[in-house]
Amino acid sequence: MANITIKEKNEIIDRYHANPEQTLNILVDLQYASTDGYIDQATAQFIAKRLGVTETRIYEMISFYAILKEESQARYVLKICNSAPCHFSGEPLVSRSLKEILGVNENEITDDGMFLYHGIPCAGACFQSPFIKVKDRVFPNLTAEQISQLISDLRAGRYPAL
Amino acid sequence: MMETKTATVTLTIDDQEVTVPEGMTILDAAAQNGIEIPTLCYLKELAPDGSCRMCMVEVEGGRKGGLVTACSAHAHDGMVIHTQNKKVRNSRRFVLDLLLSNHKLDCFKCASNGDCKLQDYSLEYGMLETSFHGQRQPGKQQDTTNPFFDYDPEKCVMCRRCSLVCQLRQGRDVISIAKRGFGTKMMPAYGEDWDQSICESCGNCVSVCPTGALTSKDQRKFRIWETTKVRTTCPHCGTGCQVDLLVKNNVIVGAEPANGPANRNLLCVKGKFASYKFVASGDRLTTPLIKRQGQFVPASWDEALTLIADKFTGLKQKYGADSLAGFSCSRSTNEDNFVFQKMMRTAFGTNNIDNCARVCHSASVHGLANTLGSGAMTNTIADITTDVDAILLIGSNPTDAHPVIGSQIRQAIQHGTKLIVVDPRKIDLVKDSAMHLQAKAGTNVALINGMMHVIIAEGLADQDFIAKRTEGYAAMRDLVAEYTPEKVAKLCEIEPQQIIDAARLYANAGKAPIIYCLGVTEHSTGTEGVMSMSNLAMLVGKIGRPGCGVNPLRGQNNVQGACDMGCSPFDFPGYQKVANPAVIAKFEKAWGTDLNPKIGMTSTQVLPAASRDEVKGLYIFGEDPIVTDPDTSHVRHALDSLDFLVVQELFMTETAAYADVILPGISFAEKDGTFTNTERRIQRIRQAVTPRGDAREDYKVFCEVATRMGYPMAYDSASQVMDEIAQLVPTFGGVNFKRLENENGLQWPCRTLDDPGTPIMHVGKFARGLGLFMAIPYKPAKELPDDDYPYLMTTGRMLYQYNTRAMTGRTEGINKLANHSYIEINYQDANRLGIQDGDRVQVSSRRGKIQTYAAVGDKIMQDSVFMTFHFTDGNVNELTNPVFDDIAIIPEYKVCAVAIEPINS
Amino acid sequence: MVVRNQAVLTARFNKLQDPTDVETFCQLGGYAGLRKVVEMNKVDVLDELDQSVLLGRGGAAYPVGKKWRNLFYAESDTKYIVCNADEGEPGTFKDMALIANDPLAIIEGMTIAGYVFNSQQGYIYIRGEYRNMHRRLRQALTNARKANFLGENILGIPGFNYDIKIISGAGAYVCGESSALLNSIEGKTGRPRVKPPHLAEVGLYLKPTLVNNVESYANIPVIIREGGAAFRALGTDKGGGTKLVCLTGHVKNRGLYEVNLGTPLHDILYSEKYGGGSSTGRPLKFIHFGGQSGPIGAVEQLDDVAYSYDDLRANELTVGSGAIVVMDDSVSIIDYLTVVAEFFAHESCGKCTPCRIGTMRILELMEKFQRKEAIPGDLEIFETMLTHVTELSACGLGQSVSVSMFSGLRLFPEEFEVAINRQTADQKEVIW
Ligand SMILES: Cc1cc2nc3c(=O)[nH]c(=O)nc-3n(C[C@H](O)[C@H](O)[C@H](O)COP(=O)(O)O)c2cc1C
Ligand code: SF4
Ligand code: FES
Repeated sequence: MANITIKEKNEIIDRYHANPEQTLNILVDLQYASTDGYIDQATAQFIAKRLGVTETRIYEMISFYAILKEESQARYVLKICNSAPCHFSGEPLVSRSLKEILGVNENEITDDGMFLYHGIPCAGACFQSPFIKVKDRVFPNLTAEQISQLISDLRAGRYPAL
Repeated sequence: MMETKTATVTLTIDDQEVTVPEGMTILDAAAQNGIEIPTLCYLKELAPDGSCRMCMVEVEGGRKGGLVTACSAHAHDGMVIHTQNKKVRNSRRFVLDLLLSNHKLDCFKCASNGDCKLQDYSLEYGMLETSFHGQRQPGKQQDTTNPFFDYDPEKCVMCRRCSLVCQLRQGRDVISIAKRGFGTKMMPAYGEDWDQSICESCGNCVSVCPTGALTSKDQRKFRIWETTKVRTTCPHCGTGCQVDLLVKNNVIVGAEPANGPANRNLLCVKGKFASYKFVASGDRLTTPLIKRQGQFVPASWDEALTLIADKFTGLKQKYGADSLAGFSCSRSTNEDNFVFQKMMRTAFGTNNIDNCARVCHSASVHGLANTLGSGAMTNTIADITTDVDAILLIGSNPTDAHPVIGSQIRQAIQHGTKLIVVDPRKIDLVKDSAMHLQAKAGTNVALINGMMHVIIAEGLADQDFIAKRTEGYAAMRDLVAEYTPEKVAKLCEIEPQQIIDAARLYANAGKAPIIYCLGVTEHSTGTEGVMSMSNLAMLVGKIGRPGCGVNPLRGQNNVQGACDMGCSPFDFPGYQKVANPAVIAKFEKAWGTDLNPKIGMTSTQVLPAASRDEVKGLYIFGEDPIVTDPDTSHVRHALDSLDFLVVQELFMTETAAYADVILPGISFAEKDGTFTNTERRIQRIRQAVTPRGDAREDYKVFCEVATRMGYPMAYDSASQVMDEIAQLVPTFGGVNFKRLENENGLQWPCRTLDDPGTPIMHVGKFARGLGLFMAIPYKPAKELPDDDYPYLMTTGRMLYQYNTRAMTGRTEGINKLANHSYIEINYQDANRLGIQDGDRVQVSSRRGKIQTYAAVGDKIMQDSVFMTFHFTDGNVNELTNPVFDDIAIIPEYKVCAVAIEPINS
Repeated sequence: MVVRNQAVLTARFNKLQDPTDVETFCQLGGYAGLRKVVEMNKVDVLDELDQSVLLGRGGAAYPVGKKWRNLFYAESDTKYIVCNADEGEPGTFKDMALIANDPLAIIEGMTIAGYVFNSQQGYIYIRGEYRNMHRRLRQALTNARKANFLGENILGIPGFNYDIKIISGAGAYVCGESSALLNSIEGKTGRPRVKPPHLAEVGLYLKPTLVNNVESYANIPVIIREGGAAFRALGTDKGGGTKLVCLTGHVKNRGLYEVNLGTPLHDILYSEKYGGGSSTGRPLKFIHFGGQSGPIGAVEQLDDVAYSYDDLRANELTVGSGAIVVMDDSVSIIDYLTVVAEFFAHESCGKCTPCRIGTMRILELMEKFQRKEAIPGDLEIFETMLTHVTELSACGLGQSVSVSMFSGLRLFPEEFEVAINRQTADQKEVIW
C-alpha cells in the first residue's frame, strides 16, 4: 500500500473509532484509498494492532472476502459480471473484447501494470449488461467499440476519480 | 427435605432406550451409552463446530430428511435416533468420498499411518479409494520450517481443529482458515512459513489434528501401534500438566497432552516436544564416578556408597553434624525428597537441608504462612481462570514461565476477564490486558500500599470481612495512609491515575484473583512483597472464595512438593516446625532416633558457610547452584572449599564437575512417584522406561547411604514412602497411591481417606485462624543504578528453555529456537549506546562481567534491562546480587545494577 | 387508503429531489408509521404484522410477524435490529433501488423495530459492491439524526434511544445468510454459525437479534400506517403486499417493478407495462425465480400461474428474492446450470465438507455434461450427490445448490440425456 501514509491509515481507522466491529469498513476504505488495490501484510499487522485483534483474524478476513485483495492489483481493475443473468445477456462480449484489447487472460495484469480484468458475481447491474465496473462506477450497455473507447479513456487518465 | 432433581429426557438411540440430562447433545448421549458416533471436527473443550458433517444421524420425522449433526443437536424427549442405518452410513460414505477426493492418499508413507481418523473411518465405511477424479489442492506445499512439526496441506481435511485450538485455547491465534470454498486452506497469515509466524510451537494443533496434515517430526520414527502410552506428569514447570508418553522399545518417542485438571488437554512447547528427549540422551550419567587425581573414573555402587558413607561419617565425627548439608531436588518426586530429608535429619543428624525453593518461592512459603497460615496457592488454576471478572497479575510472565496457565489466562480474557499486569516489562499478555502498570522492578510493596490507600480512601474495603476474619488492620491502615497515589507513582515511575484505576478495577470486581510469581519473591524484600499480596486480598475480602485468593505460581514441577516434604531447614514434612519441641519428639518417635533440634541453614547460607570452612560436606541431589545461584564466583569458591561433595545428577553439570563422587540419578520417566503442582495437587508420575546403565532409584540410594552411616532405612516402593508421609503429615493423611489413580489427583490438605482434598483454602477460616495484616513500609532494592552501573537489571525466564537447560537443552529443536543468552534493552537506550539488535555486548556488575547479545525493543522500559537465567554463555548469575531477604533468605535476583557497552569486533 | 395497482414501496421514488431529505420524506407520508406506532400497544403491532401476512423479502419467506413475536418474547435487556442489505442473489437489485430512492423508509422500518423491541442499536449490513449506496445511507442516517428520528429521546419520548450503524460487506454471498452476516458484523470471517441456537435467542454478540431484509423493513411503515388487513389485500391471503421484482435476461424491459402479489406471471413477462416479451425475437424458454438458489420454471407451463407465494409454491416455484431471470430458447439448460454451479462453488464459504468439496464436484459433473462426456450412471450419481449436498450442508447456501438443478433436470431431461454417451461400455454406480 505504497501510496498511503501511516497518518492516512490512522485517519481511516479513527473514522471508525478503531472498533473491531468496523473491520470490514476499515479494510474496504483502505483498499479503495490505495492505488495498488490491496492490503499488504504490514498494513494488516498495523490494523490488527490498532484494533486490538490478531493479524490472523485480519488476514482471514482479507483472504475470505472477494473484494479484499492480498496481492498488488493493476492500476485499473475491470470487473465483469459472470453470474447467469449477465452471462447470457452479452457479458461474454466484454471478456472477449478485453482479452483482445489488453492481450492478457482474466486475472492477469497487463505488462504496463495498468489493467486487470476479472469476473465477479452479480453486481446488481444485470439490467445494464453488458457492463464493466471500475471501483464503484458502472459503464453500462457496452458495445465492442465502447469497450475499446473505455480502455483508451482510462489509459489517457480521463477518469481521475477511479 | 427438598429434593433436587436434574431434568432428564428419554429417547431411543439405535433401538436402545436411554435417559440423559436435558440439554445434552445427541453425541454425548450416545457416547454415554456406549454408542460411538464418528467425528472429525468435534473437540469436547470447544463449542461444536458442525463443519465436518461426519456425525450425521437420522432423527425420525425430523426436518429436511431427518439428518442432523449429533455434535450440535440436543437430545429431546421421545426422539428416535438412528446412528448406523443405511441412510446415515451412506451420508458418511459421501462425506468420506469427498474428503478422500481432495486428500493425498499415501498412507503407507504417512507419519500418521495408523493414527488417522480419516483412515480409520474410511476403512470402517469401506471407502478404500475415492470415486471422484476432479480438481485437487496443489501438491508439494509442505511446510517443514517449524523445528518440531511439519504441515502438509494435501492431507488437511479442514476440520478447523488446529485453528480453533490455537485461537480459542492456546490463545495465540496463528492459524487462519484462509480463502474459501474449495480453495479454503489452513495457514499462518499471508501464507508465511511457519517459522516466520508468531507460532510458539506449543504443538497443540499437532495433538488435535485427526490426520497426517500436522505431524510432529518425531512421528516419522514410529508407528502408533508400536508404542505404549504411559500417563504421567510433565517434568517442567509447576503447572503439573498431565501427559501421555509414547514409548517404543524402551525409548520415549513422543508426548501427547492428557486431560489433566491443570491442563485439560493442552501442553506447551516444553511439555509437548522437550519433555522426553533428554531421557535417552547419550550423555546421561550411567554409573557412579569417583574423582581420582582430578579425574572422574567409573566405580561400582558399593565402592561409591561406602566412600560416601565413610567420608560423611568422618566429617560428622570430626566437625559435628552441622558441618554437613544437603540440597534436595525440587524436580524429583515427593518420595525422593521425603527420603532425602529423612536421611539428612537421621543419618547425617542435621537440619541443614534445603531445596531450590530457597531461591524462588521461599518468600511465598514464609510470607503466606505468616499471614494466612499456609504457604501455597490458595485456589486452583481452573478456578482463577474461569469466569473471573479481573485478574491482578504481578511479577509473573505466565505465557513464558507457566505457559499452559498463560493460555488459560488468555482464554479468560477472551471470555471477558479484565487483566491488570504489573510488570516492568511488556510481557506478551500486556497486549490483551486492560491495563499495564509498568512499575519499576523492586517497587511492589509501594505499589500495593498505594492501591490499598486508594481502596481504603474510596471506601472499597470489605469492612465486614476485616472485622470478622482478620487482625492487625489498624496498623496497616495507618501505614498506608502515607502512600498516596502521587507518592507511590513517583516511586514506581508510573502515573497516579493508573494506581487508582487498578485499585478500583480489582476492588470492584466480583471475582478477582491475585496471581504472582518471582517478580514478587526474588527481592531483598520478597517476603514483605508476598505479605503485601495477602494484605491486599484480605482488604477486599477476596480470599477464601472461588475465583479469588492469593496465588503464587510455583516454578519447578515439584518445588511445592519439595517444600511440603520438609526439604527446609525450618520445617519437617508438612511444615511442622523444627523449632517446636513437640514436633521433634513426634519425629524422634516415628523414626526411632534422636534428632538435631537446631534449625538448619538455608542453601543460601550453606554456601557462604562453606567458604568460611564451617560446612565441610555437602550432598547435592539434582541441583546446579553454579548456574542457578547468584554471584557465581562465590558459589565456585564455596564448592572449592568443601572437604567432600557428592552430586547425584542426570548429567555432568557445572556443579557436578566440582564433586568428589558423582552418582547417576534417574529421571521422572524412569520412576514411580508423585509431584505436587503449584495448586497443591498431588499427581502421579509413572515409570515409562527403565533406568539407563547402572542407575538406581534415587530414594533407594539415600536409603543405602543412610544405612551405611548407621541408620538403616529401606522401602519397597514409592507407594510405601507415601504411606509413611501420610502417617506423619496430617495434611497428607488421606493420600495414598490407590487414591491417586483418580485422574484428578488429590489437593492437600487431604486429611482422611474420605477427604476429597481442598481446592480452595481459607474458606470460612484462615489456616492460622485470623488472617494477619502486616504494616509493611517500602524499602528500595539493595543495589540501585548509579553512575558506574547505570542500568537496573532484572531477570526472568523464557518460553523455550527451562532453568539451566539440562533437560530442554537436549532437544535439538529448542536450541534452534533459543540457543544463546541475550539482554533486552530499550531501543532508546540502545540508540544512545550505539547498540543494534543482535550486537554483542558486554554487561558488567560489581560482581562480574559477561558477554551476550543485545535484543533491542520496547519490551523493557528505559534505563532497565532484562536477561534470562538459562544460559551458561553469558550466565546472568555472574552479575546478580547475593543480598537476601532477611526472612526467607531469598536472593535479590530481580534487581541489580549493571553497565553495558558494545563490543566492537 | 391504498388500493391495488398503486405503488406502495416505490411511491416516493423520483418524487424526492434528495431521497435523504427528511422534510420531503415526511411530506410524502414518511415517519407516519413511526408516529403511529408509538401510540400503539406493542402487542397490537405484532397482531397487525400477523394480519398483514408479510413474508420475509430476503428469500426464505419466513412470516415477519412470527419472527418479531419470537424476538419480542426473548428475554434480554439488549436486543439488536439488523437489516440485511447484502443483496447477493444474482439478478436482484431491488434492495439497492430502495436504498437509492427511499433510504429513509428502511430507516423508519428499523426504527419502528427499535421501538417495539426496546433496542438501542440497529445495523445495516450492506454489500461491498454497493459503495455509492453507503454514502446515501450515511447521509440519510445523519439527516434522520438531525431531525431527532434517531438518537436520544426520539420523538421526544424519554428513553426512546436508538441509532443505526452501517457495516460494509466485502464480496461474500454467504454473508446474506443471517448468522454469517452477524459474524461479519462482529468483525469476523463471514461463515455461518451452528444452529440452533436461533438468532432470536443468541444473535449478535450473543444477544437476541432481529434480522430482516431491506424490503421487509420498508414494508413495516406501510403496514403500520395502512393496517395489516389493507396490506394483505394488496397481495393474496397467503402473502400480503406488493413485491419488488427484478426482471432480467431476455426480456425487452429489464428492470425493477413493483407488482401486487397475485399478478399473472404472463403479464409480468409479456405486458408492455412490465417485461414486454422477448428481447431477442426468440421464444422465451425458462424462468429462474428468486436468485440462483431458487427453482426454474418452463415458460410454456406457466401461462395460468399468478405471481404469488401460494401459486408459485403450488408449482414448486418460489418468490425468493424477487429475481425473475428469463431465458430464451437459445440457452441450453446445461450451460445455464453450469454457470449456476460455478456461482455456488465460488461462493461456498468452505466451512462444511459437503458444500466445500461437493459444490466443486457438482460443477465438475456439470462441465462433464456440457462436454457431453458423461457416461451411464452419471445422472444417478448427479442426483444422489445433489441430495446428499442438500441434506448434509450446514447452511442455506449448500442446501439450495440443488434447487435449480433438480428443477432443470425435471423440466428438460432430454438435454441431459444427450449429454450422456450411451455408446460407451463404461458404466458408473452410485456408491453412496
Ligand atoms: C446463502 C444465503 C444468502 C442469503 N442472502 C440474502 C441476501 O442477500 N439478502 C437477504 O435479505 N437475505 C438473504 N438470505 C436470507 C437471510 O438468511 C434471511 O432469511 C433474511 O435476511 C431474513 O429476512 P426476511 O425474513 O426479512 O426475508 C440469504 C440466505 C442464505 C442461506
Ligand atoms: S453450506 Fe457452504 S456456505 Fe454454508 S456453511 Fe457449509 S460450506 Fe459454508
Ligand atoms: S447478474 Fe450480473 S450484475 Fe446481476
